[in-house]
Amino acid sequence: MTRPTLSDIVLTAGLAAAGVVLLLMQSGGAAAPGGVAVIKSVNDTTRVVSLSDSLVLTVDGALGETRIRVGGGCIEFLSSPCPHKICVGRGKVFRAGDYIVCVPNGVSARIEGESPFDAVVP
Amino acid sequence: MRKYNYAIPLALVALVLAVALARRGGGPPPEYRDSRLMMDTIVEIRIWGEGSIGGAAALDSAFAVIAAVDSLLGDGLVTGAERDLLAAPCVDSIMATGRTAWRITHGLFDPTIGAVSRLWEFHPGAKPPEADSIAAALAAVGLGRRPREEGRDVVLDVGGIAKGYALEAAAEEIERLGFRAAMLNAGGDIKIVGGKPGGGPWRIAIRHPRSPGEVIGCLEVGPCSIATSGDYERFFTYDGVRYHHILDPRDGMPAAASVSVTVIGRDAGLCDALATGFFVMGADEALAVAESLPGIEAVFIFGDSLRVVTTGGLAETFEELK
Repeated sequence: MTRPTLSDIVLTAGLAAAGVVLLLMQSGGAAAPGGVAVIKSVNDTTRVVSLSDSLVLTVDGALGETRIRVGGGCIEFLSSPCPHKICVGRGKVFRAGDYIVCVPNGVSARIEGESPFDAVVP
Repeated sequence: MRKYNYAIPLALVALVLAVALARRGGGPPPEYRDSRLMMDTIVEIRIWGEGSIGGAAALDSAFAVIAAVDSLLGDGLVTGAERDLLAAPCVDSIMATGRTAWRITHGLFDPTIGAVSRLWEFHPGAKPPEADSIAAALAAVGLGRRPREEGRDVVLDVGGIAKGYALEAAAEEIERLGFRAAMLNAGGDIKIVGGKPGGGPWRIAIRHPRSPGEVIGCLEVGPCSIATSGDYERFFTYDGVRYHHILDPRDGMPAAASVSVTVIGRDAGLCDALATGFFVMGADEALAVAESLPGIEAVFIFGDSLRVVTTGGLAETFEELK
């Protein structure tokens, strides 16, 4: 058996690369990112933070600032300038698909990631 | 001269291509997803597949339908002369659903309870309204006995049905645009269109009423609507007593008969109204009523021990997880 030529190697590598690219293209649109919180504000800002981070975010909303703690796989609203504090009362959420929303201030935080459920009803 | 043996590298390449092509043909269709703050909650829409327009444009179109309902009904408390209200877009249809739920629940879901609803606030530090105020407001409550006087103001509390109505309208828009699978979620009111991409049933969990972040059970369903009424979403404690937001139209006070009721059916608005009415009714009576309704199933959670019972149609498709 002779050694492969440069053309043989290029051809083989090219075909293999095409297959790998096809595989990657197909997996790109379906899966949600794992272990992140997507935080949105009424002023059209969106931030994505890892749940493995440990930080407190300040998000500007319609009424003022909402402070959100991210860490230990959870999110919680520490404070918000809304009258009823329903968002703060939600406590910590950690399950993919779960969320906290401050309607008056227009701020929401949702956990994205793999989940055994398609939705969770309250 | 011996030739280079292409068999092994070509076999590997063929394997990779075959796997890629197989996944291309049998994999889940593309998903499009967005969430927006509307109708006093967060509304999420997910659609799968391809339609007559792009997925992002279809999401915008569906959200626009919900925004139109939101702009008309806001927080769901609408006040005015009955004749004027029923002439308003959406309200006549929403009230038709309300009347259906009122009949089914023997008046325990009553959309005219708005006069009482607006007396209550449910947040930390809130206090219950004065008994005299509640008694006075109750005089305007009662879909069946309230005289239909022209020009008389009524306060309709149709927030729940309005969310369901908006979800139904948005789902119709998504189907009109050619998409065959969708899940719309307005703060826990859910509308499912079509089969689950990739196969199998849709798996919908019910949140644990007393352990935030945990779930108490899981439903496996096909295309349907799902709504839950629970005593744990909006409440306050005053003088050691817990007051939640689901009011009994008979006395204007928070209903004590249930902890959580989930209703599964075809119409999202009716499911929401029935969940409220069944909650007030209590599991024993509501279970019998639900069993008598074709196309309606329900999960009841009640008592300090959080006992769970379901209608017979869920025997094989509801799993308790606590």
